[in-house]
Amino acid sequence: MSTPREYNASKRRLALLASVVDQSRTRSDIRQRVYGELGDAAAEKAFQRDREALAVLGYEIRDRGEACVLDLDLLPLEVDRLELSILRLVASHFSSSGDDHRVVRSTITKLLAGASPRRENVRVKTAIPGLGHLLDVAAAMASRAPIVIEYTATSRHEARSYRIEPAHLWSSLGGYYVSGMRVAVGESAQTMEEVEPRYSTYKVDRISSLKIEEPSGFEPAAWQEPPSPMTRTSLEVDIAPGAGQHVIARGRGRDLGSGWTRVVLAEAGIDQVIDTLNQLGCSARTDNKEYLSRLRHLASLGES
Amino acid sequence: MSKLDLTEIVSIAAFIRGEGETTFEEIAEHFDVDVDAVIDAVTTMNMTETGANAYFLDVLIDVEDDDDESPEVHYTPRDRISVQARGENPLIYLTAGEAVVATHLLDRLLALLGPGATRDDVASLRQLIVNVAAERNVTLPHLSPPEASADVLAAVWDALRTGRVLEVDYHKVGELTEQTSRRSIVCCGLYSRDRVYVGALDGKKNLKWYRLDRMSNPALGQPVAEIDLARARRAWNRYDKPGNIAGDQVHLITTRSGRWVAELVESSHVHDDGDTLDISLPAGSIPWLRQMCLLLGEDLLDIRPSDVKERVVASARALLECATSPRDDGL
Repeated sequence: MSTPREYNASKRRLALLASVVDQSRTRSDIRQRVYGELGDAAAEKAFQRDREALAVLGYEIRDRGEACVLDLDLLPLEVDRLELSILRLVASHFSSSGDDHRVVRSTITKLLAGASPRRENVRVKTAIPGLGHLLDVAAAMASRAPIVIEYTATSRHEARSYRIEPAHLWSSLGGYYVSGMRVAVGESAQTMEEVEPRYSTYKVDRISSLKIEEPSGFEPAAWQEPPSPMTRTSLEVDIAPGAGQHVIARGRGRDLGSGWTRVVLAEAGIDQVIDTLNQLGCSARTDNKEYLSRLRHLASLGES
Repeated sequence: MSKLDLTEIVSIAAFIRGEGETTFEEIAEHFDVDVDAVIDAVTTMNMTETGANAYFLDVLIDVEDDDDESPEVHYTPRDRISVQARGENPLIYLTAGEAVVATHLLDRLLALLGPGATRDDVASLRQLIVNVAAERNVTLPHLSPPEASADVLAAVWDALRTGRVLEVDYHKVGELTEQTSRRSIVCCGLYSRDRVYVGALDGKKNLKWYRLDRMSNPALGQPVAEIDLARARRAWNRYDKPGNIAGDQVHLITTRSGRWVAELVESSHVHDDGDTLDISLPAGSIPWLRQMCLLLGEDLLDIRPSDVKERVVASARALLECATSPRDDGL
């Protein structure tokens, strides 16, 4: 009588991942470690299925000569057990609004690792900004590989191709941006021509296609303060008696006498500064140079 | 027994971590919640397997009155909960993109947590990811402050948990100064993206969205009738996010650097005129349009139609006069 065979694909995929996470392995080594009980044909089929399943989760195992390697530079995050619980709790409360990307799904799947705690009374819906090719950009940055993107700028109706050495990934006003040196430009990837390198910024969800080139080991460009309105500043504002209670409650307030309160909002984006001052209007006084300069410009619009 | 929500459970996890050892009773007392709700939340998560012999919430619970005859474990308020080293700490392997997403998920939680131990704990976890990502040259966004004052955050959560009316001062944008009114609202839930919005029942069916950072002086009002709570839940499930800005189309003529404004406002269109751009977008109101113009700064060259431009410019002049007048003048 034959022994019942245990079939547990998740366990097997975990074993496959564990076998390649720190080093490359030959196929025969993997077969021996992970698929020892299966015959040659069945082992090969199972290996291909597992590779596809892991690729969906963001773990791509590629052939490099005789060896199989995990083609991602993974960040090993060492957390304690309760920190891991916090990550899982947050992931379990993510509520898709229809624009989620595979990197969001893979993050949540990975953090939850198959768990699905009860979700009654979910009262918080979170949404991630449009991600587009975020995963690919981040992977290219990690391996210092240039990328060739097709990108439609807001001012153009047709996409152009750019070769970029991605250096910084950041978010602002609900979107993700990648900055780095733009080294080639063209109407298409085939007609791109090298240009004088220039530090440029691209919104990730406007990238329509992306190809990661072979790692060149480029030196990442130094961080440059992003263009308006993403710069960060500190806002000092005097608020009239009885006004702006929502701002006073959030900032560090100081009574100036006769009912006026001075509030400092540290590390505010210029968008937050404008949002606050535009709303408070005549209830506020500030000598924030950036705000006053913009207000003067608008007030003089149309004057010769 | 009401269920505990995200911030309460995260706070409990952070509390257990900080204490090292505690009891259900102590947790319930510390957070002023029902002890049965604590037992329910902790045991559910502690028994939810995540594969590889790990659990959703991984703590040891020392059962005081364990009945060996019964296959079921019954926890009591005085059972001890502890964090014990079970071998090495877990390692999670994230791609750089997943690290960005994990950080963003934590940010959405941090927007809802006022100052305190829980916020510090979640922020330190975020910093851990930021540090690991930085080793791979990935720059992650700044940590932002909570989205509202501590009393507003506490009251909104209380209103959601206890099913009571939330009374707040709401600070809207007026033509030249804020417009504040006292509102009594039935909170349905929170939507957290780049800003946090409170979804509240508007009349019988529809949701109205309030910005959390525009609330002050909160108080809890009367309990909401069960039928209205059920209506609020249905409305919450129907709407997934605040709608787009609506209004008449206006044209902002900008330099080429002003193109980002089209990213900010959904349903805007850009016409490329060579050196300049013509960005058409729906304008919600004059103060809203003024804000867009201030964000554009010197990249803004003109506004069309001319009557809208006159109103925006006039309001900017009035604000400039206020801003540069002595403080003692008052309003």
